[in-house]
Amino acid sequence: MIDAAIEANDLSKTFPGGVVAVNGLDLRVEKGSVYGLIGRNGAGKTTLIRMLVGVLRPDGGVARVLGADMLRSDRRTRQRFAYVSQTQQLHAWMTVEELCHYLSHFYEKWDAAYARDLAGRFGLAWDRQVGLMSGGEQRKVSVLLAFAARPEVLLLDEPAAGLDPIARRELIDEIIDVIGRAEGCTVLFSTHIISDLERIADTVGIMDRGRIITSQNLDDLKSRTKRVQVVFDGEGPPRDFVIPGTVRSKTEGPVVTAVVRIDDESQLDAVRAIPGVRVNVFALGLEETFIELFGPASRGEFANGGTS
Amino acid sequence: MTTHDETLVSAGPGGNEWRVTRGLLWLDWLRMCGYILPMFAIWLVGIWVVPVFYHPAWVLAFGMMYVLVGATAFAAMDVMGGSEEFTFALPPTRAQLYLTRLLLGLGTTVAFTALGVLAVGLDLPQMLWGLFVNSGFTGPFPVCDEPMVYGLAIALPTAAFACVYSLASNAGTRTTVMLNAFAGLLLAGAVLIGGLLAEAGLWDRLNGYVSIPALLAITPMALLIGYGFYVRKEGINRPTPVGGSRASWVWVVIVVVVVVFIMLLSLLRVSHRPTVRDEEFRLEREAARDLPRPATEVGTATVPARPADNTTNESGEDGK
Repeated sequence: MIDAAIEANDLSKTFPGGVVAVNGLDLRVEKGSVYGLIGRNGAGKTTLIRMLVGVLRPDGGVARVLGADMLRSDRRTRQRFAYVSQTQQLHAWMTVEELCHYLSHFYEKWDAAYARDLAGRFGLAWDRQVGLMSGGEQRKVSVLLAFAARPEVLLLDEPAAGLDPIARRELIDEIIDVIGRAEGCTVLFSTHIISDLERIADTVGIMDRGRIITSQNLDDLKSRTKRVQVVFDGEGPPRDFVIPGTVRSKTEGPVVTAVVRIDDESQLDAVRAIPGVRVNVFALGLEETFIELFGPASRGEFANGGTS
Repeated sequence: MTTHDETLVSAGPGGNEWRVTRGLLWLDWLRMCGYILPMFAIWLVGIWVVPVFYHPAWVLAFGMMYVLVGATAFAAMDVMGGSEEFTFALPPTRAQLYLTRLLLGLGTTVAFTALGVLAVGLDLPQMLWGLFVNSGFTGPFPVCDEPMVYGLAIALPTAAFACVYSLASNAGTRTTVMLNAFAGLLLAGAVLIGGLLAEAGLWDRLNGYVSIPALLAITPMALLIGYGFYVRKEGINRPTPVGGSRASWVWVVIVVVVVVFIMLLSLLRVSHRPTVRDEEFRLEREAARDLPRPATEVGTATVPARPADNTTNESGEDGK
């Protein structure tokens, strides 16, 4: 069995006021993989990551990065991961150079030359105060600091949140490029921008109401989730008619449309065999899949019955 | 995949914790030197150059002034700046963060007050001035010989720093940082007043035998309790505005006024008590009044000593 770089078992966190952010969550990210965590706003992604890095204390369960609880680990263990968050406030009064000098004290593998190289590629002024930079530049500084630490595990929590589309695209391009160069680095990337995720992740976990409801290979997820349209001639479908693998379905007259999760299209052969029936199968992109599974009309159906 | 070929800069073999401490101290110094250095300059000028602070009570006041801003700033610099999540996600543990800031903050507090007390107590500035100034334009400054004030000049700022640091470092918002810092000051003040009341009750005079040990005892206690909470503290991820409803602030002000009023009343109760020095002075005066004065020689004549009540002698000639 491959070692897990990131692991959470029965993890829970409730904030004051009774807001359940993470609810009995289980997660396993294999070493060397790029894991995309996706979910609606408030699904609990940020809370999960903040517990993994030891910023928050879980109410129950276990959160481990590289086999260690980061809240209780010593500095030598903690230097093996790096974290970039959506709202991370760096020391605004420091220059990029000063920040790099500061962090170089903590990481045994700190790569000063790489930091300078990244600053050049990101177009960051080395001697400029972070507080005087734009939001996009500050995010880039965060990414620079995380990558120059040469971490074994990298946790990115919506690093492009709040940026305009062009700045977001640029930042994601840079992150993809840098991840490609970081040999053996495990990445957990959280976002609700699915197009970003599709470009980075090899495995996807979908999070809803504090739990991971499905976790699988990105290509598998896309290939297994389809929209199937069954058109009956004349009258509507029989009362007990169900398309195999249905996550949710809708009937309008003689047309039954369903989002299904199937391993193989041969599972629809039984439907095709019904006389006078026409079956159309449409592939879904990840974004369509997500919207179909989590859109207002489907709230809860996937979580309750459609998990793999 | 390719790896970057540049030279790796190592933090040292075997995870050199001293290097980590140096990094933390470097940041804290960079952030706080704009406060520490001017305060050091004030201390230097006030005691050594222009001796306006030439009394341990001034050292005490100076120490409390330093603590008022310094302890809060050292304790809650990340909360105030909104960078706590960034700091907590870095390799140094919360214990290292707490202890390093404590080292610099409490270290400078103790250094300033202890050096001030030593300088005034040993009369060092006047000795230094006497080496190269003998103009006669100024008379020597009197040196305070009240041991209790010297003790308080070190113990009170130290205890106040510990209480403020402990409470403020565990605050999660800017509002609670300020409230906790004030609560820390009140706590140190309450311990001081409690000690003074105990001294007044036990000895009928203020001698610092309770208040100073109590202040010194609360220092490690407060720091230990603060440490226990801080290592389990959860980080906040954005700067929080100073908030609270108007009604809540009214309540805070009422509570503060009541507490300060009670403390002032307590101080009034003990303020008429003589200090050790006052008591010694009173005893000396009484002894001088009771004992007959030795005869004094003026020129070749021998005259009897004047009565201790300081009236002129009966002849009114003052021994001429």
